[in-house]
Amino acid sequence: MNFDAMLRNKQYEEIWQKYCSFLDLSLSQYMTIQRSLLMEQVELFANCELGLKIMKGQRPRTVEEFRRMVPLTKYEDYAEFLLSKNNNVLPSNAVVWIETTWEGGLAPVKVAPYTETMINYHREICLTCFILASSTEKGKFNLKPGMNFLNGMAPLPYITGLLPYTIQGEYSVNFFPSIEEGNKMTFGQRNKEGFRMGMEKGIDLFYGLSSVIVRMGEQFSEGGKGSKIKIMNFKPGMLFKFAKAKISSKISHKPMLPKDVFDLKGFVCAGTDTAHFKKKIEDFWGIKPLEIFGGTEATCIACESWSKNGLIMFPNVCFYEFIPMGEFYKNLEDPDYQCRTYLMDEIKEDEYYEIVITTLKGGAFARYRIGDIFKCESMSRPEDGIMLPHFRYVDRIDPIIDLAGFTRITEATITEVLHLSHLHIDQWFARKSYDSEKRPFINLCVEIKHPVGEPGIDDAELIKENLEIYFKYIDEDYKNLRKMLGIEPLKVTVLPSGSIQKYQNTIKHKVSKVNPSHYDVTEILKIAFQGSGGIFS
Amino acid sequence: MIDQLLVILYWGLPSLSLAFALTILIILGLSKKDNLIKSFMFMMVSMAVWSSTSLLMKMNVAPGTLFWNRFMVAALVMIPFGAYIFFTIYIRMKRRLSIFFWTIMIGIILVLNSMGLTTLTAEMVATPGVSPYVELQYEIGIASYFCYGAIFALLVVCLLLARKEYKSSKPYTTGLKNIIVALFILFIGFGANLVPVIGKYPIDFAAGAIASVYFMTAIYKNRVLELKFVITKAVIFTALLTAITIGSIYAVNALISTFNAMNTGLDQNLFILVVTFVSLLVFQPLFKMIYNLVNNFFYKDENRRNNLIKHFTLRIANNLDLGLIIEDLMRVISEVSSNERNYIFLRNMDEDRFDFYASGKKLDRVAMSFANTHPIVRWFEQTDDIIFSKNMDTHPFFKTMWDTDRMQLNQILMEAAIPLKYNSKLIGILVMCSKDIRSIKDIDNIEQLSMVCVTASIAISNARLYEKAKTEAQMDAVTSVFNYRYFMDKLISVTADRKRGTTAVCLVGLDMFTVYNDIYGHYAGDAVLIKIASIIKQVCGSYGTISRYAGDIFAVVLPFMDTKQSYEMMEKIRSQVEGTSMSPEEDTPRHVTVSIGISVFPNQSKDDKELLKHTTLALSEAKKTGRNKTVIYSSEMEELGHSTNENDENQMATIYALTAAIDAKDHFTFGHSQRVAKYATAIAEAMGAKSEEVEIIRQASLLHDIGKIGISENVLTKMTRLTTDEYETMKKHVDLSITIIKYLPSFNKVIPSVIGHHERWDGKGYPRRIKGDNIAFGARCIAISDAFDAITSDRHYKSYMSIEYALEEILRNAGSQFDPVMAEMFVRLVKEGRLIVEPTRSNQYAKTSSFEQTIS
Repeated sequence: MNFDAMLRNKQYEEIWQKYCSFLDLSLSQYMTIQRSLLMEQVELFANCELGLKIMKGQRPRTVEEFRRMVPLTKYEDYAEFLLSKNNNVLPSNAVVWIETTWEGGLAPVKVAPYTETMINYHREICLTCFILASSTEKGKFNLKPGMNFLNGMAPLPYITGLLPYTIQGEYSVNFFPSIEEGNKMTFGQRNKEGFRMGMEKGIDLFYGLSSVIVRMGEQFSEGGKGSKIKIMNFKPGMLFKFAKAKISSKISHKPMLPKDVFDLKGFVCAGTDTAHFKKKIEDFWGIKPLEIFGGTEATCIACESWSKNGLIMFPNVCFYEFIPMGEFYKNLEDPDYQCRTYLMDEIKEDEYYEIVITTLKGGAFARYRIGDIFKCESMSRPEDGIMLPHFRYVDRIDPIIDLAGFTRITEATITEVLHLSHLHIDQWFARKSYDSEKRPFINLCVEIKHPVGEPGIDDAELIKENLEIYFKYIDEDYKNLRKMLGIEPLKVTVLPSGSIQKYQNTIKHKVSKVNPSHYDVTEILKIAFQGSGGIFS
Repeated sequence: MIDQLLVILYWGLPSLSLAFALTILIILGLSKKDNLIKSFMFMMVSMAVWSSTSLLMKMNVAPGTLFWNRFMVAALVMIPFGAYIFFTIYIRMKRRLSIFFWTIMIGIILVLNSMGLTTLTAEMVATPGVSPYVELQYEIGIASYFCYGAIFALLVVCLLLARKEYKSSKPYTTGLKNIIVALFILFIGFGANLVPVIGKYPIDFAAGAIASVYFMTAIYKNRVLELKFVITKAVIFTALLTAITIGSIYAVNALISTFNAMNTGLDQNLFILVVTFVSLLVFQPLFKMIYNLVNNFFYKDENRRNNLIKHFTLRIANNLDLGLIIEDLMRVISEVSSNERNYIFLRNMDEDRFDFYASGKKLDRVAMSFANTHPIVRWFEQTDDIIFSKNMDTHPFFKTMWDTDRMQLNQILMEAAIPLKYNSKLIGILVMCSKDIRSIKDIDNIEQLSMVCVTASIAISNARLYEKAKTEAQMDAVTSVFNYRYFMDKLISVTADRKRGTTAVCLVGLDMFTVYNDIYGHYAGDAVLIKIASIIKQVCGSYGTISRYAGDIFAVVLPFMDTKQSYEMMEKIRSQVEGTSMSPEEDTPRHVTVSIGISVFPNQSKDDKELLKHTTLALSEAKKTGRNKTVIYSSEMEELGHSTNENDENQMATIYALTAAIDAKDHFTFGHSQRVAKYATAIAEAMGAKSEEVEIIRQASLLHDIGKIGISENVLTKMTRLTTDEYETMKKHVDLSITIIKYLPSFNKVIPSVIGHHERWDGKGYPRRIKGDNIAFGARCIAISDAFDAITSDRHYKSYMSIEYALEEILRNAGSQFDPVMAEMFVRLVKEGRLIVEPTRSNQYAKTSSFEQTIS
């Protein structure tokens, strides 16, 4: 019986049991699932070429042996097997290959195989997310067949593009725009067209990138410039709502917000900086969004509960390990250092961790560092009756600046931009910061050293303009940041020449180019301006 | 004509409406009721009351038209209210406030109606000439507008609610559409009442009848309500009883009428009395018969199943045969569940998994098992609740399930799993699989099955305990393989039928195991045996039966294996043993080896005895030809006359150990026993003794002085002549030798040679003073050899003598002390160089000597 049929038969309790009962697990039950499925995965690894390579030809018999024998891995460890998309070396047959860009990698893209069971689990997880998104208390949710669904996510081969295909035949919704039409459009067009259709017919469910959703809300409240909405196409109900909202906006002299027009049942959002955008989304759309977390290699691994106050990781998708920050920094300084990891039942509240995953159900990755930092907000939420750890997604690991989930800027990207610009930039470092609207941007500090007898630009604004030309040239998504999200992505600060080196001489080692520690930055700025590091605070 | 039609409509439509409403009510009444069905029933009851009160009103039944009219209005109001309640439940509406509002409204209307404010007057006026057509003439009150307003508002609300639900889940609400249409028709029908010209016709009842048809369609065809019929015994019984009672009343009435018509002149009261009496007589047995009939009808299947379970319980209570119990259980389960695809999995002996044991169908086997870590097993260890396949898809407990396990369950179409538990311990699992459709509806009486399983669990547990005890009696306690007795039975069974195919029997004997035991102790020895048993088990798998044949010999029976196959398997065992360290992990590696003998039935042996003999010969050959090898039996082995004594090596090791003990006690006699053995066997062979006899003489020679262990060292190593007492003490060594050898049953054959080696040909020896041929052949050989070595060796009390002197002495005492023929033979052997002899020197010797003293 599919999801539609269960809804039709009003089997609400069964639906909750099937999709959301993992929230009732105790931590020990959760770990039992984790351990059992990891051993299944070890069996699968032990019978394939990729697994044997990753496990160094050994066959761990326990979870502890697995953690002891298998080193932490990065995509480079899998590249030779996966980039060729060779099914024969995998633990299980891949039914689909998901792609994403590989910043600073050996190839332009990274690919990850998805097995049939992984797809089945992904389907369940998508439905779980919709159920919880439309829920405000345990066991109660508001989904019906045939709802209008605004899908603001990237199509295949990105992971977000799996959604329409996985729920096909399970849960019937009207995608805005339709899957076929949407696939022919660019990311921006899809969102515009989807929103237009939503205006005409109403929106029940919304799944999108947090930053984009906020921008949509902003544009709507500014009067929806540029949108080609035809009043004639409006459904009477929507026309009435729209007219009513417009009139009350005029009377109250307040901007019209999406929540005045739309009656959303569920809101699912994802992407870096979501934590910064959630409040705005709620203000604009009148509904608390449900945050989810996922990635190409890991699939969707976490979502919030009905109270929308922290990510909970699904027990059967990946096996999770956590690297505490202390270990993480040790490894940053000494790449050969093997970080100690902790399991879900060993982590502590209020601590930050880098997550390490082992994909289950025939996935390809073992003890894989996906490069994301989480904070364990609490080990349980007794008020909700959930006894599992709740997390907050913090950001990508330091060497990457992820801007609103839209683009990822690495040291290599910035180095190339600086090289192409010929601006005589000698030393630099960049750190991700947030403006007053809590929108992220790159704060780039540079030292200029013109060659003798060769004049050059010293003005920060001119340098910024110059660099942006090359950022847009190198990174396709960079230009969309302003266009689609209204973000000013770059701020340049010119430091007196020698400031960075002077600081490095005192600490006897080099400062990270991308996202150096807050302490390092403050100290450099003190040297540079004989004051505090106000520009980063 | 029109008038007649009006009459029909006037009476017919309310009756039709009532009949439809009652039919729906009966159908719903026979079903299990949830709130949705109850609300629908409430609506139907209102419709039935509405129609019936209308009829009563038209019939002008007491207390009068106005009374029934008000009753009818009340029912009329309740119809849309019932519909409203139905829709709020159907769409899970949570607006409690609006429900409360409408409840209050309806309450007010009912109060107003009961106060007579809706209908002021009402009476039936007959139309002249058209009987029985009567027309209702009524005067409505001011409250009736409010009443109708509320009815229409409620109907509109219902229509809106229905429309909303219909639109939100369009493809699935065809049934709802029919209900919407029905309500709309009712809406029109009620509306007609407000127009007197139309209202005088029964338009509302026509609408009621049509609406009922739509309701029935929604229930039956579109399944708006999920009906689970529960035709109870009471319903049927009541219906039959009512029918009989009505029938009886009519019959009695008819009888009385007939009696009156006949005018017989008899007393009518008497007749009524008789009829009543007869009726009672008939009615009572009739009642009982119906009661039994209904009981039988309802409990037929249940009785059959109960009987089945009862007999099953009795049968298995005294049964200890696991196979029969399971067979019986599967049969009962198949009958109770009407499903043959049931499988039993029982906990295996190692208690690490549940293996397939039996199926409901003879040839239906499944190649799967449940490990202790399987979620189904872990579930049953925590609870007794039955697992249904649909729960496995939804319950988070089953998220631990591996894909392979899930696939297996899907392949067998598992529908439900029931635990077999005894004393809270899971001993087995009953897996029920549906034939075609994965639906639990196909498996009936699941609770009864649970009861059967509880009963069966006790019997299975007892049978397994018995089986375990039986198995333990056949098992070797140390190595957990079968014991000697089982092996012998097995040997007989595999050799019972020559046409059965080849069977290889292998004996795997540890090399020098006695020495290993002596060095490392018996605990270490046992550990070796366990390890080797496990290696054999691992290599043989399910192909063979392994038994501990003797202390350090394992027997492996390999049915359907030929020489080549068994040789390869045994070689694998041999090399694995060789390569395995027998010491605990942290210790220095210790290695042992095994020698293996193989013989195959029927190719090489005609029966079990011969098969065993040949295998022993092959093992012996392996031992004798260097150990750590596998030897297949060949007929040459028998021809070569190899010893069949399976304990050869052990015996020799024991002998060497014992002689070493004597040598250690008296250094002067070091090597004496070995030399005596050499001379004695040479004599025996020269005298034409068989090889087995020669072997016995060798062993006897080595052991002939073993009794000296019990003689004081002062006597043994005395440098001067022995006193008489000391000599007597010394003579006791022969008896002592026998005493020692008696404790070694496998050396019994050597006793005659040992006991007689100090007897003399002339009968003057000791201890038994026998003479001539009465002295054992071996003893005579040893006597010459013993004397010869004593003369030619250094002793405490003398120096060695020359060979020539010794030979002369032998010849001189031939016929008195020694067997003359043998003595002569010995001298000849030495002189002809066929027996190489040399004097034996020692660093210490005594000056004084006497020949007599050497004879000790």
